[in-house]
Amino acid sequence: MHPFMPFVTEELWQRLPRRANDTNPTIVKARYPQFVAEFDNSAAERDYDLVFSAIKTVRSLASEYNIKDKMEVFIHAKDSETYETFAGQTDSIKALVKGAEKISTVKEGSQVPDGCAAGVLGEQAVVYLLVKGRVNVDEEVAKTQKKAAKVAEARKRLEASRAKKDYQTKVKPEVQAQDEKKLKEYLEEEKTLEDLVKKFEGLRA
Amino acid sequence: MIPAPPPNVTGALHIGHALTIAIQDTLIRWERMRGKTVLFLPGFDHAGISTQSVVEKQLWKAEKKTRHDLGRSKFTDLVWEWKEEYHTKIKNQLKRMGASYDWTKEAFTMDENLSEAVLETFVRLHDEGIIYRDNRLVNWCCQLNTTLSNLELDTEELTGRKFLSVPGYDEKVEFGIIVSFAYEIEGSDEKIVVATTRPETMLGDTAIAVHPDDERYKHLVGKFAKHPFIDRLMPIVADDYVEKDFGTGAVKITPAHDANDFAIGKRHNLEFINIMNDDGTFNENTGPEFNGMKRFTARKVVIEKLKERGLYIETKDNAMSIKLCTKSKDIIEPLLKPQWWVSQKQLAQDAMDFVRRGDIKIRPATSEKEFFTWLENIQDWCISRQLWWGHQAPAYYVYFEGEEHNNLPGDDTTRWVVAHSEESAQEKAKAKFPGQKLTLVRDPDVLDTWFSSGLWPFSTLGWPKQTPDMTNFYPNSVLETGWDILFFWVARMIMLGIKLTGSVPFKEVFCHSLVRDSEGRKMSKSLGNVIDPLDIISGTTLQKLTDKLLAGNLDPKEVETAKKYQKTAFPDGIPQCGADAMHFAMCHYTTGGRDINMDIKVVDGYRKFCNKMYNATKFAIGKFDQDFIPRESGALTGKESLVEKWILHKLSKAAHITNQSLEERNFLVATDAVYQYWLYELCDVYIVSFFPP
Repeated sequence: MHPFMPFVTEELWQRLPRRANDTNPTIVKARYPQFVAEFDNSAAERDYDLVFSAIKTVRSLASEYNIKDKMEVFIHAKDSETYETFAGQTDSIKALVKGAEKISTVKEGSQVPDGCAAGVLGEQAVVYLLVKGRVNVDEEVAKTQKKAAKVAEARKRLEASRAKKDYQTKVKPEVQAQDEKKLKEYLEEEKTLEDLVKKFEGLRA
Repeated sequence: MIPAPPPNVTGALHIGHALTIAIQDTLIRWERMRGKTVLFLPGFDHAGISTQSVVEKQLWKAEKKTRHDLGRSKFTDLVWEWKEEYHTKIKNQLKRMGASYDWTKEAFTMDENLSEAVLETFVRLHDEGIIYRDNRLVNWCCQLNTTLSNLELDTEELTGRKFLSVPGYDEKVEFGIIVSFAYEIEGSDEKIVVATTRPETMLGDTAIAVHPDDERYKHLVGKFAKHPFIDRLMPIVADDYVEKDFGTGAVKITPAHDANDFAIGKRHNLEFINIMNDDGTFNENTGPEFNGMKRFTARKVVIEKLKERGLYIETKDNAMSIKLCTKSKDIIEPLLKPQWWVSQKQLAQDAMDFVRRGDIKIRPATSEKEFFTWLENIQDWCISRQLWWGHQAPAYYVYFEGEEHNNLPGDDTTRWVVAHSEESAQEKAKAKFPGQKLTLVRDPDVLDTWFSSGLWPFSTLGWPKQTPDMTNFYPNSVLETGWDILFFWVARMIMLGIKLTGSVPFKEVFCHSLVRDSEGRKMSKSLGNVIDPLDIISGTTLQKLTDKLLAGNLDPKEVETAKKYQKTAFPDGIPQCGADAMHFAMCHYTTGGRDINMDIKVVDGYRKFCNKMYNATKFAIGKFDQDFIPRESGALTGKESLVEKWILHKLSKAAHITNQSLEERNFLVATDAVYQYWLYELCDVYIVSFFPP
């Protein structure tokens, strides 16, 4: 940042402790950051990006259901690698979600209790926030059904475009692969939402 | 090495300087942090015309005196005093903007060694015949009383009749017309009809030209037309240049006041009658009725008198373009004057060859294209200026014994000697005119400011001496400036650099955009959209902005327009943004486009970003133990958590993008990368992950 903002960076740099044996008196002569091969870690990037998207999902669910405290979160990891990633990050998730009290990572969907709102993280995981007893069931069912209908509509549109006769020949293979992945995700999400509706219905009993 | 484009000593810095400084300083700081030895050389330009006219105005305001009342030496002393005052002021402003210049190498175009470079260049180019004296039509500004180069003019396109304000006239003057009138043929009842867009120039007519094949006029060629107001007979000549089908097919010829007529005058050996004084009034050659009359008053009077004599025919609308002086907005008058010229064809050819060969990379591509277009069509450069402030030409006019002179050079272009000093001029003159008793009179004119600016990349390093700085820093690395001075400055530095040092003056040219207001208009005092960079740094109120308007010399109508804009753009004044926010914003605005529409709110946003950095650093310091000393190396320990691995990965990636983008001079992407890293990765994620659950 120093080349772009010379004054404030010097001021702050002067307040920070120096590395051992660093006698350089000014940021003006400090070494500019470079690409460091050792730091290049796309696995860490991917994993923490996933964790962070879980955090964002919980935040948005919490605001959607207007829940501000004592949150109980379940993360359904669909493969063991994802499970490991989340299991090690529950503290960090807790830190980044205001009002989160308990974060559980589970391997099976059946381990998630009834009465949760959900957000899907691709094919790898589903994030649940327990809303039972804190929301109006009728409203939530209607809301979820509306969401499911929207996803179904998007899916049908995609199916229709894939069904066109020159789709196989004219659309680039990478796009076709993307479409296929998207379709799978839509189906997955629809199923999750349908399940969610059932779960809300279960709350009535 | 980056040479800072030297700001004029004439006035305050504007937002364009802030942009220039931000880009150059970013490159310099970045390269310095990458371990290179850098030189960021600051300096100032004496700005001949601008500075002299400001001081003249002040002298008139304060003491009701002109420069002639003081005399040359006293007046230039006064300009030096004024220069010292403003120089100090501007230097302090520059320092506040955060540029990491090496002030020990500061240069001024009129420093002793830089003046020596000008002298050396003039003598060398004159000896080689590249600088020559010629009596030609020049662009004369009656208001500033000096010659101007083609680059110092504006063009206004007229679609037809239009009244324009001209300095020195209370009433507006009519342009965009073509007036037809008749000349009587001597010794016959015939008349010949001609047309002109500048009726007053008929007082300088010395011939009528027709096409040699034009049957209508064949019998008149060789006869004479009579001037109605002056005792003058004008030959009717035949010339291919005349278009038979245009107008009446007969053209009035004013060799001393029109570029085309000048050429015809030379071809037919016509009389060149200068009808104008330097101040735009007519001289004794126009006869008693017009002598002393102002040129545009004469435009009306000529038509009236033609009517009286029954010679006037008609006036029609005429689409045309007129040339104005960029500085004074006066209408340029073509006048015949002996001046110093630089022959530029070969210089331009060499410059193009070097750039084509890849010795200089010009970015962006639009600027490179303009560079070639301009050089391919280059014309010779008139470098004489009738001013006192600047580098006086080292040229001496030779008078032989018995010749009268009033200490001014004459018109004979072969009588000149050019030398470093008067003594060596004496020797050169004796050699040139052996056996003659001689007196030398030095050319009182100074040289175009851009002549000295054109030497900037090497004159600042000590050239013509071969100094250590020349060895270490020449050619310079990057020449960075606004695209608007590509021709004024960049092209001339390349031409003169190659000619004088044999090498390109720099390896790269980067032309940045021009800063415009939030509505995309050019910044101008009369629009009220000029922003002082210091107001962005320290903040100001709407009232103070308005006060500044009133302190300037705008006309009341302009003040109103300006006030209106200020009210909409800065209803709450300008917030205090600080130098860093401005520095960053200017880089972020540099997208490679032509223009930047600057919005003060964007700059203010980066001030908030500074707070964010401050808070993040404060948080980090709070986390460290009092006696915490970071490890000697930043290498991984293997104990890093996922979020730590993640942030290190992001840091390395951001550093990679920033370095690469700065290499490519892509300031938008470079600033985006650091900004995104700090805000969305370091602050929003990494630091937040430390907050207690």
